[in-house]
Amino acid sequence: MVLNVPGRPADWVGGGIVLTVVFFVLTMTGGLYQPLLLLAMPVAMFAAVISAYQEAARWRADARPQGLTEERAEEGVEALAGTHADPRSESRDEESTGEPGPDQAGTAETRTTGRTEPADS
Amino acid sequence: MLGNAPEWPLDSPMTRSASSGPSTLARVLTGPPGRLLIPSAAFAGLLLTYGDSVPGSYFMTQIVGALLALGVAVVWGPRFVVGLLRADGRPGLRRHWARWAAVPLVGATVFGLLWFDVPSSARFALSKASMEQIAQRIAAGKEPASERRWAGLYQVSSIERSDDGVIFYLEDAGFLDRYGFIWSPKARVYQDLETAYKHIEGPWYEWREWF
Repeated sequence: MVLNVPGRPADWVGGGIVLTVVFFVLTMTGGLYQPLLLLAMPVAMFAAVISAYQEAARWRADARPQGLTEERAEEGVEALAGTHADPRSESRDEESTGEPGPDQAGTAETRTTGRTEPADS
Repeated sequence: MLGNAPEWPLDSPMTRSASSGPSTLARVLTGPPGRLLIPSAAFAGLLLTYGDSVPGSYFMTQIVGALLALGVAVVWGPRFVVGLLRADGRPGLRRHWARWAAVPLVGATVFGLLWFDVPSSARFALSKASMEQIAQRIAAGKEPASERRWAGLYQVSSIERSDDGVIFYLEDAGFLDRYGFIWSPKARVYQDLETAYKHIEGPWYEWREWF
């Protein structure tokens, strides 16, 4: 399924919050804006998530020519992890979640391959 | 000066790709629920469960819990649906399925508990023996307490003797109406325009006074 929206995720989230506040104020002052009040944030969140996937996909596409192929990239991550990654943060992440944390994804992988991992929320 | 030199040259493919990665918000929105969303869902569930544990419920606790639950749903739902619809989102859902499942699991558990009235039944069952002791002492002639105190697991604003038993007024329960329990071994409680009673078990009745 093709889902495309313009703008950045932050624009949609910010817009959703502003519209919710505006509709809330209008509802409190006697207007019949309840449907809009309830719908503004979910719709904005849908658009923000789509926009976030687009941003990630765009960035992956941009980064690929600079970096390596997927197989070479994996080798590169391992090599880099042995030389540059902080062993303390690595062991800490493994202890807490059993998988590489967002810190590593944002440093070692990014520098080597141009790929990134989604973060927690 | 040399000691402060950056590890990577300022203008290299390495630093370019490091600085132009997806924004933190984009990474969060495309990632699985984690340190914020799952605890928030659990906290909302706790608030809703606790708020529903007294007759009439704790109004403000319920409002805060419901708003938090709504916020969690608004953040979780679009991320899950879009992740499911997009080909580049599905691997993430499969890889972190337990974290994605945690939020609806919490929601279903809380919904089930509230639907079957488990919080209020459990709280009453745990408090009954203690409240019965207090009621019997007051029925035997002891002066009832007019100040705020604990009766079992309930905080009561006052306890009063009536013609047919003992009334426990619950603190903070309900929005405008007053709620409480009546211990009436003679089973004589009278319904009128201002009050309503619901039999719980044995000599115990749930009591409500309309605003």
